[in-house]
Amino acid sequence: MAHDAAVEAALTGRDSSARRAGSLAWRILLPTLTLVAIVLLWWLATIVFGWEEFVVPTPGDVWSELSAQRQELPHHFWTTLVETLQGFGLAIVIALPVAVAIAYSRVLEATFYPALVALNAIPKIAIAPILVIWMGFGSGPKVTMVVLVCFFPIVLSTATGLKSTPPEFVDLVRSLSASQLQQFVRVRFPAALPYVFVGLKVAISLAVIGAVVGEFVGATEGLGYLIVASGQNANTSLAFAAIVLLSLMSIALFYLLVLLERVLVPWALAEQR
Amino acid sequence: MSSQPTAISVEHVSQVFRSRRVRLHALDDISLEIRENEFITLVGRSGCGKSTLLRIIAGLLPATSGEVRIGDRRVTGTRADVSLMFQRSALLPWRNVLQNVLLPAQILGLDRRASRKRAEELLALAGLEGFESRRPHELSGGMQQRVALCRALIHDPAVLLMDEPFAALDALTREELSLELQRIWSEDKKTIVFVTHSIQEAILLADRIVIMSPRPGRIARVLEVRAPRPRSLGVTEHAGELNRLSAELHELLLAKELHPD
Repeated sequence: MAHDAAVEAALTGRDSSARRAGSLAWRILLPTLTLVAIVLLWWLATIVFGWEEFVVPTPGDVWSELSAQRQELPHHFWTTLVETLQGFGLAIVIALPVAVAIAYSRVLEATFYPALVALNAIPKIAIAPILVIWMGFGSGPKVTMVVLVCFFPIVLSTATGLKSTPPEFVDLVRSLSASQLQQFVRVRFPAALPYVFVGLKVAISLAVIGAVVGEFVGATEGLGYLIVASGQNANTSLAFAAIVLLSLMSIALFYLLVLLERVLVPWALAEQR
Repeated sequence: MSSQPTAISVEHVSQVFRSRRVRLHALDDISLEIRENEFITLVGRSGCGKSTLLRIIAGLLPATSGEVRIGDRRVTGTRADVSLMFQRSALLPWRNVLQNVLLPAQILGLDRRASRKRAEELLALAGLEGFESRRPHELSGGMQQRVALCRALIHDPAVLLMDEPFAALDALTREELSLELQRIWSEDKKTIVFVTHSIQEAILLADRIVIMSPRPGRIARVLEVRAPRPRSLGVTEHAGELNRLSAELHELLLAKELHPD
C-alpha cells in the first residue's frame, strides 16, 4: 500500500527538485540579462543623442560618481534604510491588529474601513511638509511617512486573508469546539499568511518610496536628501547614483521578503505549482 | 443489531432557511433512530437536505424545530464525541500528515504521547505508514482522504459524520476507499452517518440506507442491507441481493412521485 502511494507520487511528478534547480538558474540569468540590456541601451542613448552630463549622465559618469563619493554614500544609504525598516516594522505592528479587528467585527469594519480608504486616498507627498511642522527635522516625519504608505496594503491583504479561510477549515475547527483563540492561532492566521505576504511585498517597495519622499522635505541626510541637494547643484550624476542605490535597496528588501516567505510559508508555493 | 442501544435520535427536525426574499423549506419533520455502531447512508438527489441534516446532527447548525439527541445528551452545539469528514480533505497545508492527524488531539488538549501512539496506529491501519512527515500537497486525493479519516478518528469519537467524503475521487479510488472504510470500521466500531449520492457506495457501506426526497427534504424510505461484510462490487455470492437493492434504489431516486417537477 505504502509502496503504491510512493510510486503514484513519483508518477504524478509531485517531487520535481531537478526541475526547480533548473528554473533557479533561469530566474537569476534572465533578469540579469534584462538589466545589462537596459544599461547598454541607456549608454547607447547618451552617445546617440549626445546629452550633456548634467542632463543625462552616462552609466560611466554614474559609476565614477559612486566611487568618488564612497565615503559619503554609505552614510546616506544607511539613514534611508533605517527609516525604511523602522517605518515598515511599525506599520506591521499597527496594521496586523487593525486587520484582525476588521476581519472579525462587522461593526468595526463598517466604522473604520471607509476612513482607512479615505486616509489612503490622501496624496502622501502633500502631508510631508505638515509632518515636518508637527515633528521637526529628525527621522520622525520620515518614519511616519513610511508608516502611512505601508499601512494600507498590509491591512487590506491581511484582512482579506483572514476572511478567506476555506469554509471546510472553519467547519473542521468548529466541529472540534475550538475556542476563537485556538481557531485564530491554529487555522485562520496561518491560512492568511500567503495573503499577508502579498501585502508585505507591495508595502516594502512603497516603504522605500515613502522614506525618500519624507527626505525631500526638511532633511539633512539620506538618499532622498542627496537627490534634492544634487538637483540644486545640477550634479545629475550624483542624483543618478542615489537612484541606483535606492533601486538596489528596494530590490534587496523585496527579495529578502520573498526569501522569508519561502521559509515561513513553503506550502503556499508548493500548492500553487 | 436491533438489540443495540440508540446512539442518535433525530426527533421531528425541520429546517427552514429564510433570506430577505426566499424561504427555503430544507427539511420537513425528519425523525430517525440510529443504533450504536450502526452504519447509515443518507442518499438522495442534490437539494434533498441530506447535508443540512448532517450539519444539524453535528451541531454546526441549529434546527428550526425538533431536536437531536446523541447518547443521552441533546445536541446544542459541536461536541468532542462527534467527528466530521468532508468532501474536501481540509488538511492544513502547513502541517505534515502526522501533525494534521494530531490537530483534534491538540485542540481538545488530549495526552500527547497517547495521541501520538494512536495516530501512528491509525495511519498504519489506513496504509499510510512511512508517510507521517509528508505534506498534504505531496499526496494523491485518495491518500489525503485517508489522512482526513485518521484525523477524524484520533480522539476516538462515538459518532462519525461523513459528508460525501469520496465524491471528489475517481471511481476506482472511491471503491478502494469504500472497502477500506469497511475494514477500518470493523476494527474500530463507530456509529457512522455517511452522506452520498452514489447508489453503489450507499449499498456497499450501509446497514441501513435512508433515502431522502427533495423540496422539502423528507425521508422517503429506509432500506435494510443484510448482505454480509466485507462487501465489494466484484462477483460474490450476495451479488444478487446487492443488484436487487441497486435496482430498487434507482427506481426510488428517479421515481416521479418523489420529484413532483
